[in-house]
Amino acid sequence: MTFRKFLRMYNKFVLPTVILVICIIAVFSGIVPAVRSIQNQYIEQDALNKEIAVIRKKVQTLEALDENTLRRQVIDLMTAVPPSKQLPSVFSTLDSVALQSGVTVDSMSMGSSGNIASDSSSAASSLSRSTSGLLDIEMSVNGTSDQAKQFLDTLADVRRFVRVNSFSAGYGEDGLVKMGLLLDAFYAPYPKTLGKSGDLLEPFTANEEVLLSQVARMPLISQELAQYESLPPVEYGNKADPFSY
Amino acid sequence: MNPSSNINLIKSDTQNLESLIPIQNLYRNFSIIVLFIVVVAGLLTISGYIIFGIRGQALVNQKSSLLTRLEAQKTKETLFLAARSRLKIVKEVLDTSRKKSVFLTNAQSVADAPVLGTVTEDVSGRVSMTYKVLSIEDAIGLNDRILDLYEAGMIDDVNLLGLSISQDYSISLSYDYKPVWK
Repeated sequence: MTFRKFLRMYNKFVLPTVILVICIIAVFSGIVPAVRSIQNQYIEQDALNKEIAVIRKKVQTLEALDENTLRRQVIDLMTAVPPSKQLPSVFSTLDSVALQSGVTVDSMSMGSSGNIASDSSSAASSLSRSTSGLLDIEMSVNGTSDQAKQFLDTLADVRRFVRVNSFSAGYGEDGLVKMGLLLDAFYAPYPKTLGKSGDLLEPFTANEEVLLSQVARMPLISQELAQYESLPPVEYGNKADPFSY
Repeated sequence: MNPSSNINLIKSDTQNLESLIPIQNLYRNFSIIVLFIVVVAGLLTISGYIIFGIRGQALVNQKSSLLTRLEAQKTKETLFLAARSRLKIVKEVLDTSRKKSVFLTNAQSVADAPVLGTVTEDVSGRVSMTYKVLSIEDAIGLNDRILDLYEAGMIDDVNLLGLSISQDYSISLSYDYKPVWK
């Protein structure tokens, strides 16, 4: 069979075959890649949608907060747990508590585990028995039994936070109580990062609100820390450190 | 001889070709259907591509706008995160901070100075008390009052750590207990 005869016999098949070939080429070179691209776009947009929802919630949460209230709350918390060791504020707090309760301070010294100063940006990991840094303080006071009790009660109720780790009270013949105390004072460096824009930011929970008001109610009796109470709010602007005054 | 209007005496197709006509028609129809499907699928794909492109751009714009709003809230975010990180510490401290005058109150409720000698809380949180009484009856009374504290649920796991009688017949007693926080 010659080629011409073949063509004459099957010429009606040529056009449909060409159409089918073009269709197959169109499917594999056009439609399939385009569908894959749409599928990828769908996945990306789904992720983007979720991210947008998180950012929107974050923005709404932040916009709903009053900056001055927030600043006040941060200052309250900073006076309870300062960003650095701030030894003067520890001694000032203890001195003020002693003065308020009427006990006499016999001695006060920093425990063995602390340096005199620490960079607020570096956590003292060797001191950390919790999420914060700790300063060990040894103290000895004397006074009447009521004064000693008031001293212990007041210590648990003031800013900055000082926790009685252990103590020993000796009752003398004269009715005076001599107490030796091991105290923990807390500090915690500022957070170093803000996190990503897509990180979830939930508003304060009811428990956190209770804690905030509890801290705000605690008296600030240290002269060193009292200065923060009267400071005016600062606009952030170009400041690198929003906590700085 | 069949009457025919065809005056062409030469056969245009062979017998074989005539049998291919239904297959040709079927093949042609099939190719047209496939072409139609491909065209429709192509149009749908192009539409989807355009729609997703527009939607994607809208989402990018939306994110960009939200990020601008977020940037304006940077100060608040910094303050908020600082507050939140400190709240964790504050909670931990407040959860472990107790008014420990209750140890002195408990000890004095059993017997005040000069009978009461010392009250000590160790780092594990156990509290010990020492007393010095002048008679067995006083020691028994002291013991009863400590048991009263235990029965009132104010102290737990009470132990008599030591009992000694000195040359002047005074009796020294030491107890320790685990405090109960309510």
